[in-house]
Parts: sequence; structure tokens; C-alpha cells
Amino acid sequence: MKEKIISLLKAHKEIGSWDLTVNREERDELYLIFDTVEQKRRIEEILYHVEVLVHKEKEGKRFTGSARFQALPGESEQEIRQKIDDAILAASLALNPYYDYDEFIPAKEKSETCDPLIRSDRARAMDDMKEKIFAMMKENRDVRLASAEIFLTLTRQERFNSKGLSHTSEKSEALLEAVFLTGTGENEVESVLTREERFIKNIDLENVMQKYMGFARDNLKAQLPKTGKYDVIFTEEALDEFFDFYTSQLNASMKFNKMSVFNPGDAITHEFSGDKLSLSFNPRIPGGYRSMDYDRYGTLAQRTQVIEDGIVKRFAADRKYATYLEMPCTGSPGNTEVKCGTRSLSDLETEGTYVLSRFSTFSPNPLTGAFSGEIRNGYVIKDGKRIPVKGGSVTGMMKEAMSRVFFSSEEVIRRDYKGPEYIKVLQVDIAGE
Amino acid sequence: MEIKDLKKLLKDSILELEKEVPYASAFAGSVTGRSIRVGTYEKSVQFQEPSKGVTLTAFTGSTFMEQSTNILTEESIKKCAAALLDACRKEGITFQSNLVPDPGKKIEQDFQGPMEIDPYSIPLEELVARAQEKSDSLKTKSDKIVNMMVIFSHEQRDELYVNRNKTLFQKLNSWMTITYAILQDKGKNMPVYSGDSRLGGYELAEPDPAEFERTLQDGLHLLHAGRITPGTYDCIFSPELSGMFAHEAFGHGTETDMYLKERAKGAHYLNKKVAAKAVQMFDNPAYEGIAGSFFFDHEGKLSENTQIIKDGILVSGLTDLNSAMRLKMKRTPNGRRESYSHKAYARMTNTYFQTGHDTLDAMIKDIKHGFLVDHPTNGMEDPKGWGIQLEAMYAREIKDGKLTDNYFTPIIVTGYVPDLLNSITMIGNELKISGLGMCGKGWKEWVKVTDGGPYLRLKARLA
Repeated sequence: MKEKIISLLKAHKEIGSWDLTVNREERDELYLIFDTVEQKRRIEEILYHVEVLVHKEKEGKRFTGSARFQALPGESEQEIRQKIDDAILAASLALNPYYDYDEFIPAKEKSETCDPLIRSDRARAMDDMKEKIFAMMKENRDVRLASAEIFLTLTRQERFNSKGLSHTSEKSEALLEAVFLTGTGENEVESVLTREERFIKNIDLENVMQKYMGFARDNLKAQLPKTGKYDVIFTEEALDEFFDFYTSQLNASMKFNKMSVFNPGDAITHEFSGDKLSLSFNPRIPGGYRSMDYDRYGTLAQRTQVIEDGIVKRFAADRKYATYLEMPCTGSPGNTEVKCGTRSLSDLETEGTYVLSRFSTFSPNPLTGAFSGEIRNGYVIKDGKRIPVKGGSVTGMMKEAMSRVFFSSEEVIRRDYKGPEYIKVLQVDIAGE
Repeated sequence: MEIKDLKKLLKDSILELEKEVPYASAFAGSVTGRSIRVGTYEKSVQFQEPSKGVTLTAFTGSTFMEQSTNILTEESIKKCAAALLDACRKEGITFQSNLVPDPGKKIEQDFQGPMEIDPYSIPLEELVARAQEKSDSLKTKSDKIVNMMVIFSHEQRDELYVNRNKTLFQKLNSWMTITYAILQDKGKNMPVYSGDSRLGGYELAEPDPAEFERTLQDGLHLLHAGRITPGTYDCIFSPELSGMFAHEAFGHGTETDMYLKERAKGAHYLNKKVAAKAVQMFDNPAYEGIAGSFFFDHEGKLSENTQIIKDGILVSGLTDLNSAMRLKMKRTPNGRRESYSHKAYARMTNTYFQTGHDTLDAMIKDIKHGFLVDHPTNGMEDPKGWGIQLEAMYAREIKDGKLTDNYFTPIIVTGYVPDLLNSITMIGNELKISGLGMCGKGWKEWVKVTDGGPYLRLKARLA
């Protein structure tokens, strides 16, 4: 089928450039309720993703329109031909400034994106994870496993484009959701573990389960935090989206659409009384969720530093927006990589500091930098002891937070983040008791 | 092969499976659509990623087994059924008389959702031109608008459910219009949006100008808004925020797969008081024309209204097939999948508080100091702990019975669900349902939902 699509794309005179991505996905899913299997699922899908670029010239200016469509297995040549015609019409009606895909450059090395066991034996990988979970539960009799979901996915990808790109890659995904209960009756509490990684080993199953069973135990005796301004250390789940404001604002698409308030050379905040942020996009981190060899415009993936010591160095610009804004093409952003600081957790955990691990949601607004989250797990340092807290909320603005921040020396890799495991922000608003 | 044409093949497949397993069913679905997006600097016309495939389900007597494929040939579906049967045999098949899914009454019916003008009958040029014209004209409303986007999106869902007694097919068309403006002043951004999504077609394309104007004026205030002093206040929730409150407070907490996992405190509160006496709450996929509506759920249950809270008493959960069977509860039409390739869970549809008799003016009148909280942006449930988080764009201060022009942004509402529900003292007399929402089960499994309500007066902790 791919040959059929490619030949139709090549033959069409109105197509300026084209890209075909073939994804063959196999996924196994296991659902547990307590210690019984509720459901097992297997999904097999093949999808053909096509993008066409149409280049036009009007009054001496060049324009490009793009449209994407998907072909499904078994579609006839006539159906695919119709989809291509529809895509060309759609692209012609949505003309934007001119751009084109990058010329093909062979990759010297491949990014590590596939777990060997998910590739070779998903059934065994699934059984291993299930058995480890049951073994852990046997060792922790005061905690019950309410439910668990394990998804293991292998995607074999082939990419071709009109600039000569011909590339194969494999990506795996391991997803775990586990819910732990402890306590009794009205006082029973839960803790919800969710992790999604390319490699099973990055989930770090035993350690992460131990941590989340600990969160459940903490919740039994947790207190509402006090209302006021406190120093807060963000860790665990809060790290996943902590830098979203800056990663969004420093994407060239935001600049082009007048949604970014930054320019190269700008300080990311007004004044610094702590560590200065250094942030890069790195699409080459082994097992990174956003690791890749080529981005959607056929650009070879590379590491790009966008913030150095609190100063904006450049925007992450894929081929399209780099052309629009006449700036260097860095390729699409990959994983977020943040430089660690010099202080350890024990240095940061001073008296009165809140250490917050889990929120209901913690998503800084990509346009305003406002953040808020209801506290699901954490503790406060009181008389040198860790007193569990939950409930209440933190709120703030990322630009203000970055003016009084300290990054830990401990580093963590989780999903598409590599950087300090603990981030301390001084004087954060907490609403609680 | 089109979804509708799979009826016989799927029926044959499940009857073949039922020669060895106690119960089998099939769900096939396809989604197609287009999205036209015109902004000040960029525009695009995209085809929605199509999802088209089939899932065969077999119950072994203790475990549900499923196999999905998007290769819709007779050979592929037969292969899929054979693989499923093989997996069932490996798992072990038993016939337990106390654990058998109810196939329901015999019915074979096709359903068609409302649509006056088929979007595909409108030339694409016209759709793009109309979005362009709207974007250009709305941009002139304020010099603070740096980017004005208009989004038209339409979708067609074909869904087929088959078990030994049922063959149900539905075609649902929906349309969504969103106006999204980026306001900027003195290096500060403020995004504002309004819009709606409903079942129907191109007849729903026109954005509500009054709604956009209200949103724009709010956004202009928010460019200079301050931060609220955290505390517990007399509040009025807008209908949109009331809807999110309904959804997060007792929507998720009544999805009975959570009962099965002992993850919902609500399981212990069935037929007990959880809210002020005047509070009535519903989940209704049969609500005509609303974006979360359908004729049957993804496990073949025909749509009907479910009252969740009656006179402040929690009276019903929302069930899927598995939890209803195991908990011996009434089946409600809430077994839903993100797509054919995802598992069915107990999910909400159109969830809302019923209206009362109070006007907004009457609610504001006797508030000495409080806030009108509006423009919800995000929410999160906590069915086990009954905590809640609602995020809103702003709170507008009320002083001595009058709305002021003092705005605070962003706002987070947190608290203990029964405390909030029991603090409701006034309920507005107009129902508004917002159609733009999507809902995840925790953090994945996204399905279309709506929520709504009237203005509610209550006490809430704001930060």
C-alpha cells in the first residue's frame, strides 16, 4: 500500500512536497481490579499518515499550503486518489508564507526509543510487570492494590518524503496506572500512580510503587497546609509540566503568532535571587519520550539550548517557522533538559519548607505563566520532621517563581524531562487552613 | 468496508464466539471530520485523523477479552475472532450462572442524529472564507487583540453495536465553532475564548456575537487583574463553572467502575444526603442536540436520563456493563469508549444541575463581600477523598450587593465536595450547557462530554 501511495504522490503535478509516515502499532493491555484480571486487550493497527505541501506564487510572492490526511488499510487506489485531491484543495485554500521540508541528511546514529523486551516479547514483559506488582503487594500488606492498568505498545515506523528521506525506527511505550488504598472505612485513602515511559526500566517499578504506597500511607495522617506564603519544593509529578510556560513561549510558532512575550537576549524574569535557569531541548536522550531522529519537516534532530543562565538565547524553530521568521532552524523541540543546581535536597529542605510531590493538575498556562494545583501529596518540614500534608492549593506566576528558584543537584529523568529532581521556589502562595 | 455494512459479518462472528464463551459482542466505529482554523497570521485546513475499526469482545465467565483491528476485511475480522477465541481458551472459559452479562431486549434499529446542512455540501472555499471573514471582523473589536482565531470543526461518527439480541447503528454529526483571541498589553498575554459544540451541521457555524463580546470585555479587564487574597468567600458560580462543578463533584464519583475498585466514597453514600435539599443533578445522553448525546452507548444500552442527586440525596450511579453486572446495579447508558480501539468504562455524558427559581440579581443583592467566579478552564476529580479542584479565568468582586470592576486572575477553587454542595443556598432559573468539554478517565481515555447548570450561590475557598 505504501508503494501505491508514494507513486500517486509522486505522479501528482500540483504537489510541491510530500511526506508519508507508516505506523504499524501493536498494543497489549492488561486491566486488574484488586488481584483479578478484569480485562485483556490486544490492538493491531496500521495507519498511513500523509502530508502534502502545495507551493503557489502570487504577485511575485511565494506561498505554501499544507494538509494532512490518513489512509486506512484496504483503501482502493481511487479512494486514496480522492484523499490526495481533497488534501491538495485544502492546502491550496490555506496558503501561508513559503517553506519546504529540509533536504535529507543521513542520521549518523539512531535515537534510542525502543525497549528491547517490548520489541521481542511483550507477553513476557507484561507478565514480569504484573508479577512484580503482585510481589510488591505481598510485601506491603497494609496497602491494597485497587486497580492497575498496564499498556505495552510497539510502533514500527517507516518515513519517506520527497526530499529523499527514507527512514525506519521503532518506538515503544510502557504505561502503568496503579491505585493504592490504605486505611479502613470512611478513613480509607488512595494514591494514584501514573507513569508513561519509552523504556520499562525508566518506570523503576519497585521504587516507584514503594514511593506511591508511601504516599497512600501519608494521606492517612495528612493535614491541610497553612494559608500563606511559604518556600515550596516541587518534585515528582509537578516536574512533568513545570517548565511548560518557557518551553511554549520559546517555540518559534508562538513567536510567529504573536503569543510569545520574549525575544533573544531577554532575561526570563525581572531579577534573580536564586539559581538562573538553563534550559535546552534534547531529542537525543535515550528513552526520552520526545526523542527522535527526524522531526516532521525532515530535519535531523539536534540538541538546542534556548535559555542560558536566565537569558533567552534563541527560539526552538522548526523548518517552517524558521523560514517564516528568518531565524536558524533548530528542528522541532525534543525532551526538556534543565541544568541542575549545586544544592542537595537536604540543603533545600529547610524548616517550614513544603515539599509537594503530587497535584490534581499542575499545568502552567503557556501564554500567561499562571500556575495552580490542588495538593494531593506532600509534607512540611516542622521541627526537622516531615509532616504529611494534602488538600489546599498552590498558585503563582512562573515569571515570578523563576526569580527566586533553586535547582537541586540530584537529577531525574521522567518521560520527556531530564533535570533537577527538586525545584525550590521561595514565597509561594498556599491556600489551605 | 463501511461501518454500517459490517452488521452481518459482526453478528456471525459473535454468534460463532458464543458457541464457546458465555457472551460476546462487537463494536465498530469510524470518525471523520475536518477542522478549519483561520488566525491573523496563519490558517489551516486539516482532515481529522480518521479512526475506523472494530473491537470484538468475549466474556470468559470471569474476564472480558478484546481484540481490535482497523483492517476491515472479512478475512481480517475472522482472523481477529479466531485470535480472540484462542486468547479466551488460554485464559480459561467458565459458565458461572451468577455472572452473565445481560444482552438486553431484542432490537435492530438505525439512528440518525440531527443535522440540517451537511458540512460536506458546503464548498471548502466557502468554509475558509467565512472563517476568514469572522476572524478579520472580530479582530477589529479591540486594538489589544494581537491574534484572532476562528475555528470551525465538524465530525461524523458512525457507530455499530452488535450482540446476540441487538444490532444498533447510529450516525452522529457534530459541529464546533470556537473564537479564540490573544490579548496583549505591556508584555502581558491574556488568551480568551468562547464557542460551542452541538450535534448538527453547518447551520451551527455562526459564533454568538454577544458571547464573544462578553468574553472580550472580561479579557480586557483581566490584562490588568490582580491576584486574589486566598480565603473562603460567598461566591456565585457561573453556569459554566456550575457545570464543571457538577462534572467533577459527583460525575466522576458516581461512575460505578470506581465503586468496583472501591475508589469512590459515593458507593457508601447511595440514598444518603450529600447536598442541600434543593440540589438536583442529572446525566442525560438523551438530551436533544447536545454534543455529549447519543442514541445508545458503546455497550448497546439505549439512551435515557439518569438522576444522580434528587432533593440532595445521592440516588444513582452511572454504570457500564461490567460494573452493573458485578455490582448488581441498574444499567445506565454510560459504557463509553474513546474510540473502537479503547476499553469501555463507565463515563459521563451530559451532566448538569437542574435549575431553581432565583435570579442572578437576587443572588448578588445580599452579598456583602464575595465573588462571581466565571470562565472555567480545568477541573479535577477526587472520588475517593471528595476533594475538588476547579480552575477559572477570573473572580469578579461583589461588594455591598453590587458587581464591581475588580477582577482577579487566575482562580482556583478547592474544597470538600459535600461542604460545597451543602453550602448551596440559591439556584438560578436558567440552564446553560457548555459543549466544548472533553473528559478523561483520570488522565487518558478522552470522550466528548458536556456539562452545565444555572448560577449557583455557595461558599467556596478561592486562591
